[in-house]
Amino acid sequence: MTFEKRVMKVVRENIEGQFEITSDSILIEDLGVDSFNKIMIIAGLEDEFSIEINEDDFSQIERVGDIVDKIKSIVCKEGE
Amino acid sequence: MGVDSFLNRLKVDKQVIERAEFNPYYNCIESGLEDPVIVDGKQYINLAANNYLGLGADIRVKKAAINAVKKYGISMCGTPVATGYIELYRRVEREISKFLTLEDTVILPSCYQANNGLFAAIARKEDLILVDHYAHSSLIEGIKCVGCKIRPFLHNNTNHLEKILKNSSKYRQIFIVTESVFSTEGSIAPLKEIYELGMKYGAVTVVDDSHGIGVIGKSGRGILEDSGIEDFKGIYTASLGKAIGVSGGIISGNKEIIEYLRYFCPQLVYSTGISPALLGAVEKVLEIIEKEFDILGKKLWDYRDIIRNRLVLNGFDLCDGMAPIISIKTGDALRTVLLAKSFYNRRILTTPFVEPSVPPNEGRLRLIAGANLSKKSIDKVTSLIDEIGRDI
Repeated sequence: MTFEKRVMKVVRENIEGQFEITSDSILIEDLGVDSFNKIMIIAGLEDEFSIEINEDDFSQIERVGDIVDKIKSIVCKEGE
Repeated sequence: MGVDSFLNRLKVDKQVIERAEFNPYYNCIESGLEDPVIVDGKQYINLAANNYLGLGADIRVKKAAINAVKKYGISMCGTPVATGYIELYRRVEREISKFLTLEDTVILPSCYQANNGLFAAIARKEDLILVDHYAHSSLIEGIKCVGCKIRPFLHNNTNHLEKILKNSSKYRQIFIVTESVFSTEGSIAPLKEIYELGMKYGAVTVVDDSHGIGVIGKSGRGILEDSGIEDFKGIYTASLGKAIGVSGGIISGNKEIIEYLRYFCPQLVYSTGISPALLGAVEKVLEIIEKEFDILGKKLWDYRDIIRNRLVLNGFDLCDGMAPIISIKTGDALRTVLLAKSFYNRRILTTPFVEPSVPPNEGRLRLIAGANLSKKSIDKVTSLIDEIGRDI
């Protein structure tokens, strides 16, 4: 599974209801993500990628694509 | 910095209310919970109160409260740990425990305080709390006070819950927290499955049965009876201000937990004991439920079905709740308040929920038809629903 698809799978698993998710999906407006969903998504990403995420790093995230970029940068840093 | 800027920061954003030209909050009721209620000198049918069994203004309950006042006065002017603990208090604790088939109970001034104080007393930073996504603010605020790791799970989703439990072995203690009947959705938690998962993974289940006690279960004893759970080893909280029709909150469970809370739950230890009037009323309500739940419960469920069916017939989008809470999906905050206004203009009180009580753009309009409402009022509601349906 590609990196992007893994992120989307985690997002899908941590929101209520069925939505079509693309990298352009806006978390709040398109997917109904609230503060608790955000915590669920972050925890799901930690489990999926075996990383630790600082919740503050996610405060500016708006779209699914932003999460992909953020996780890529975390994974790259940890791999260095 | 300064007082003016401080006050500016406290300004309430009332844009939605202004656009709707209607404020559904802090309605001033000029009567008791009779049918109809009086607002601004006019008669309204009340579908907003949590008065499920219609006992909030029952004459027998009023008399019991008056008798308690005659014997003990309005207040014991002390915390339960000091002079606020009267024989009536102890008797009601025991009667509630018996009603729920749990070992022991403490009574607090509200369930909000019960849920707030509980977690401060029993959980520590090194613990993990798993909480249903749609859990009530009182539980969330209580949990946040602990400062431990919090992991929400998807609403009523036991697969998601188990997935998290499997990955959570490093904590001192895990708590699973849920409501029984969710107040905005009307959905009912699969408590038996949740409790069994808790037992399997060594987690303590905490359930808030505020909208379940006196409502669900064959004899109105709430979620434990409804789920067929016996010998519950978790922690049970509930409001006495909904179907019980009074005020106050409880925490019930096994003797060791409750004994600990008697000394270490700050919201109990440092709050003036609940008024004797309220205790007298609760005692009478429990007696009424024991004798009359069959009749009151049937009315409640019949009214729920009549209104629900009429709303569906008129094309309203409803939540799939199984409880006697009818929840209309209303979208954004403005649409939610405008629908509440449509009901209000036709002399029906409802409860609108907008963000942050619900997720963004997932507003709800809640209707609860208590057993005290007359059939005439219910018939009136159904014909007005037709009218509102045509208008929108």
